[in-house]
Amino acid sequence: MARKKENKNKKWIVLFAALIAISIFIASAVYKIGSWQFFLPIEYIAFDINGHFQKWISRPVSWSSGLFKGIFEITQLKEENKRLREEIGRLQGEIVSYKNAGIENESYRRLLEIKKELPFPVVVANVVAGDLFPFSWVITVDKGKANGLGVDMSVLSGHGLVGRVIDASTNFSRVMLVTDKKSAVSVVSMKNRTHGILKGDGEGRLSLYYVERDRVIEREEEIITSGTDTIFPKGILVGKVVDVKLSSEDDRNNKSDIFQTITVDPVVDMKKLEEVIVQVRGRPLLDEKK
Amino acid sequence: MTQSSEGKHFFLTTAIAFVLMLMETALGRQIEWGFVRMDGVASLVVWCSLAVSFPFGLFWIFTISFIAEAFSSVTAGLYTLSFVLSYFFIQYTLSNIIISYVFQKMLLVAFTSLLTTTILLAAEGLADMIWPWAVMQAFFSGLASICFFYIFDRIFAKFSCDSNLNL
Repeated sequence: MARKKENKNKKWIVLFAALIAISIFIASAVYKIGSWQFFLPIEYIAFDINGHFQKWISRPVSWSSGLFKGIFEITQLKEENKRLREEIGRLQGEIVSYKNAGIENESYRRLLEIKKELPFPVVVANVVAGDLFPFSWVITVDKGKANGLGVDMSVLSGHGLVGRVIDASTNFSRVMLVTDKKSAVSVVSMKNRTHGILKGDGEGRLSLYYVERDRVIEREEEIITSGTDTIFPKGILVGKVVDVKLSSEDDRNNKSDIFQTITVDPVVDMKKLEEVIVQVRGRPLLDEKK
Repeated sequence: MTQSSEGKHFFLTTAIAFVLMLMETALGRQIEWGFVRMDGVASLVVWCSLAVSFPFGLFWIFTISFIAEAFSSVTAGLYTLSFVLSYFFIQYTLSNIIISYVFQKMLLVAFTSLLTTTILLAAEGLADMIWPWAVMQAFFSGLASICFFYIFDRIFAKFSCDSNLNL
């Protein structure tokens, strides 16, 4: 009798577990399709909780690395450092814009002046975590919608372009670095004004796509954003050309002779990022829909 | 296994998974070598697959997968797919072979790590990185599993007096 009851109970438990598993599976599928906005708040809450924990964990590591730099004035130094990095970022942008403006024609320069006049408030954010998947070039920063950050805002460092915001919760944001395989930036070479699409190769370098054979591009030439993708502002330094070759010369995977194969080194060391600057466009985006 | 101990083990596994992933994401960038990290998640998936039979084990694996998805920006569902596949493979293996030696568990962890990384890399368009990085990660995960299995065993032994897990 007792055994019968136990078997009955077991059946109910199995049924219950199966139902939960099926509903989770369906929920996951619906979420993947993207038609159910119900899960978004839950995702953001989880993202926020994880971010706080990650910040607590990563804080002692970054603290210990900076310990010997200044024991007595560490707080002031950090503040000053943050302010200076912000300043460097702004100045870097200005320098690149000036160099760029020098080789542009008159109308181009006029457009640039208009662009420069646009006020772009920036927010300095600390990198608190990476992605669980080590091949994914995505970082988490400790600023979110409450600080005015939103999806598709460009992220810079003192040296050049870092990436763009792909997801933002109230206090944290995910940034896809330009070296990620899914990243694409519309760029132009500084000297020869050759346009192309810069994509990450997933291994830490960048490849410049869709540059025709007859276009001139040189080694060591600087690559800057062209602004035509409407995500990244024009004139931000992204990298330097390290290798130029015709597709059919060495690349057996790409037999096409239409485009060149161009490798670009990013100017920013993505593995050593600690602080980034996010260009905030417009007002805080707390009410932004994903 | 009683229902109370089942619940306790489940929450313990969830907590371990959360802490492992938290450490890996917060410190992974500082301590990784190339693209190889000290990955304990593959060990946890194998440990659960060996310890908890169907259908409860599947529920545990779903939970670990959802935590993993929250910590990553890879395409939704890929962690779930790879972990569930690993779970069914290990369950099938268990129905044919008794896995008791350490090297067998190490091989299972290495296989699970390779399967997971291969699925994720292929789906993300990075199939050319399977060799050597996914293979190296699998190798290191297999080696690290000795340490992780020891830790998991100790934790579960400490927190449960009436443990009936299959290990």
